[in-house]
Amino acid sequence: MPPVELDRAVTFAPSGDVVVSALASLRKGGVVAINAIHLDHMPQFDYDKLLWGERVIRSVANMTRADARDFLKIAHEIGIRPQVTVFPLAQANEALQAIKHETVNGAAVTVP
Amino acid sequence: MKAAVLKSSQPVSATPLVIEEVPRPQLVPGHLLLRVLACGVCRTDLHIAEHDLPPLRPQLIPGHQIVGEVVAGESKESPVGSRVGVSWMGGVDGDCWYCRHKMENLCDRPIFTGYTVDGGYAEYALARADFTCPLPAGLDDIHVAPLLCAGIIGFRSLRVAGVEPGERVGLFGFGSSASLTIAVLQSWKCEVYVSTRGESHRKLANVARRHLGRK
Repeated sequence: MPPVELDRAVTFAPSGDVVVSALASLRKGGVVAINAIHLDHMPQFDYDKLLWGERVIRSVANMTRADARDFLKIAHEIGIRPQVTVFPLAQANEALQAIKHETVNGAAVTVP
Repeated sequence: MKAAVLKSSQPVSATPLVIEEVPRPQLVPGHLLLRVLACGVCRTDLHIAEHDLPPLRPQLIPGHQIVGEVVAGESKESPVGSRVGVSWMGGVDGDCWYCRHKMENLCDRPIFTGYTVDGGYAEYALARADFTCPLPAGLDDIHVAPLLCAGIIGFRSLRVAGVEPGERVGLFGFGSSASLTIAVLQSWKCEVYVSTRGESHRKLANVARRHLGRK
């Protein structure tokens, strides 16, 4: 748990437990955004302690073209250069396995 | 062309993708035919391969972080020979309630690259021209590919969370998307906290912190 109360939180793990942990870290009026297309489950949690106080949980669904263009512009301006592990296309299964078992640091990329 | 084809969703330990020769996609109006230069691998691909997301087609070429060279098709922004990116949103209907209210990400009849249509685990891919994006010259093919979903959706997450410059922001879980998001947060002078259980992700977060020279 972060040692301070957060204004905002974003969850990336496909786990409802992580969403609850994030919620428990928020100040009143804070927001949790769930960056996941699929969650394992969403556990029960204590409304009085965790959501009351106008805390907000929002899912993140897909993207807009404006998101894409705005982000690519910022990424170029600040020089984002991700860590990448390259897999030949013929090893696409191995790339998926690496994502599942978190054996790559950063991103996996296939090349034909 | 060579492609990685999902014929039956199952655990990735059972190697659900079949590498085989398939017909090259045919150009249709309003689209671009791309020679794939690189394609990022996303956790959503894993959900599709393993049936966490229901199959929508009898067989599918996954992959929705495509960097491609335009080899055929018409686009004002992206002539033949230029480099474009294709992401998860491969198209929308343009006339549902959400599209008419500037929420195309919630379109009732969306096209999802590498899910409702074939994607980029292949030598060639077809994409709707108006859903391709010209790519800045600064990043090479393999380094720009992960930006096209992990990066864009991470960025959208900051928008959905309403992050303002200088705020205190927590990232829970630290894979590809979070590692790209942290760079944006730090450019906004946010105070960033990372919570992750994985040792490899902790190392990645520390690398990001050192690289950016902030706490």
